[in-house]
Amino acid sequence: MTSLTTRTRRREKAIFLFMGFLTYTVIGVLLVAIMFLARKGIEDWSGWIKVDGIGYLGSQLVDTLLVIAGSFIIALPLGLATGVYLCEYRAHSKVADGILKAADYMAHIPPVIYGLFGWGIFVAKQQQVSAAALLLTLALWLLPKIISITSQALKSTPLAFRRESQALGASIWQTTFHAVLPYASSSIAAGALEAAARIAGEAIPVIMLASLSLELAIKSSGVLSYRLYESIVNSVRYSQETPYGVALLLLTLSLLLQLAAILVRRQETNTKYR
Amino acid sequence: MAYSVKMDIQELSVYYGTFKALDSINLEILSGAATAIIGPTGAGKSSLLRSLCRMNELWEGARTEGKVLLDSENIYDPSVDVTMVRRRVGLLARRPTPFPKSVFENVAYGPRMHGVKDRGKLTEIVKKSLKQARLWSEVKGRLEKPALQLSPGQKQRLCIARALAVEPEVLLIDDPASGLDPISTAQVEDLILDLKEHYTIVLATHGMQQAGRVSDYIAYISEGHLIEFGPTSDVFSRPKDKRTEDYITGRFG
Repeated sequence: MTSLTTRTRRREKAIFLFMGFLTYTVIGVLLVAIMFLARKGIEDWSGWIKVDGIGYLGSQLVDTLLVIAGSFIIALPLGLATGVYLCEYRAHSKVADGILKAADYMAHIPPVIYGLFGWGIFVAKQQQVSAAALLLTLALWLLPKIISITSQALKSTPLAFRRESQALGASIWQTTFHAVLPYASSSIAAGALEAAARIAGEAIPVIMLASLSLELAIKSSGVLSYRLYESIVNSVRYSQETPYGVALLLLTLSLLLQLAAILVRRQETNTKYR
Repeated sequence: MAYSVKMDIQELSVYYGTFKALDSINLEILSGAATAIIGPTGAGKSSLLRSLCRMNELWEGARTEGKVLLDSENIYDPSVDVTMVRRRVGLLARRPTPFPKSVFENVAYGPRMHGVKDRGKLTEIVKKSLKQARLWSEVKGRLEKPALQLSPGQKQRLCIARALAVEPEVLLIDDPASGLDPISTAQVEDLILDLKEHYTIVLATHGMQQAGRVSDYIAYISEGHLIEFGPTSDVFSRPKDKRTEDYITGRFG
């Protein structure tokens, strides 16, 4: 008679136990890191209210939000229009497919390249960094992301909705607005919020623009990510105190944006298919 | 003949890439009658239906040659507005998909797209269409509920109501029994018999009994060719073509 407990089963159990151990260790390390950051950040409370020669933390938060809003105002309508046109109106076109693939590719180019684009296009000639240059650079970085998010959301909307709508005599335009976008919009919104979180945290294009410029004009109205970068550099160079407050604020902002994205997606599954 | 010609199909060929799905079909769809298109799977039944309302254009790589006259106007003429064709010739897809909207909004969709904004008017159309589709009594208390909660048979009838709300002249129905249980199928067949009084109907089916019960005329197509066309009773009792006879008896015997 064969025994009901086998060696294979015991070995499997041991492997999963080990993997479980690893998982909880990783989670533990992450939690400790976040708690450390939170404690230091709250200790660094003074930074939240004090003028420290560069600006209020609060004003940097406002600047960050303004930069996000500004780059979205430029990139969102353009990206949406492009994505919808290529996916819906040029549905079977090879050219449209090519452009969408290119946008997907460009959405994953490292931001440092966009920093260089921005510098070359918007800054180099004037030798001066302006808020407009920063916004346009970030918008340029955001644009392929929005196109890519839009096209993926549209492509995951069932083809049947389009066919049923057009069989009822609706035009492509009407079909897009009444049968397709209502179901793609929450995916697009969630994707856009995630992109906003990236923008909030991304320092590199800002650093590029700022450090490449002759007179660091951006300094006076630094966004959080740049402020964090700069103060870390300063703390190493001039042994100033590292501003954990900035880091905590940035982390919170990023988490809030991603939480919003999760909520939008959850609402989508609740309302769409129930 | 008591019927006049509603749609006149002339030398219609449909290609998907290099594949020829329909080969020079000539067929008259008679006004106020129900015409059943029968034939084996892959014969081109769905392609034929779709080409009668220009829906085949939405399939990638599809190309159509020939003419389809709707009341003697060619629907493939470049000057024709395709949305007008689809308003007058409605199509019920093989697996009808309700929109993930409420029951009301599903039926109101077509009229809304055609400019009906008045809520009272819409309510009236929705009620009338649901009654015509014999769904009203089952859904009247839950018009604002999601359509996706309905049973498969109810969804089928909801999609019929949605198509009727546009007030088409011709109704193309692609295999209404597919995926339905016998009771729902019988309900839908009864419904088609009802609709025959008001609409010209073209029905694609591979159910021989269904074709016999519902249709006045039968067109048998096989591998993209029209083999035989005639009154249902004639085609069933004395088919002219050996291939039609084989198909019919094969299914019956």
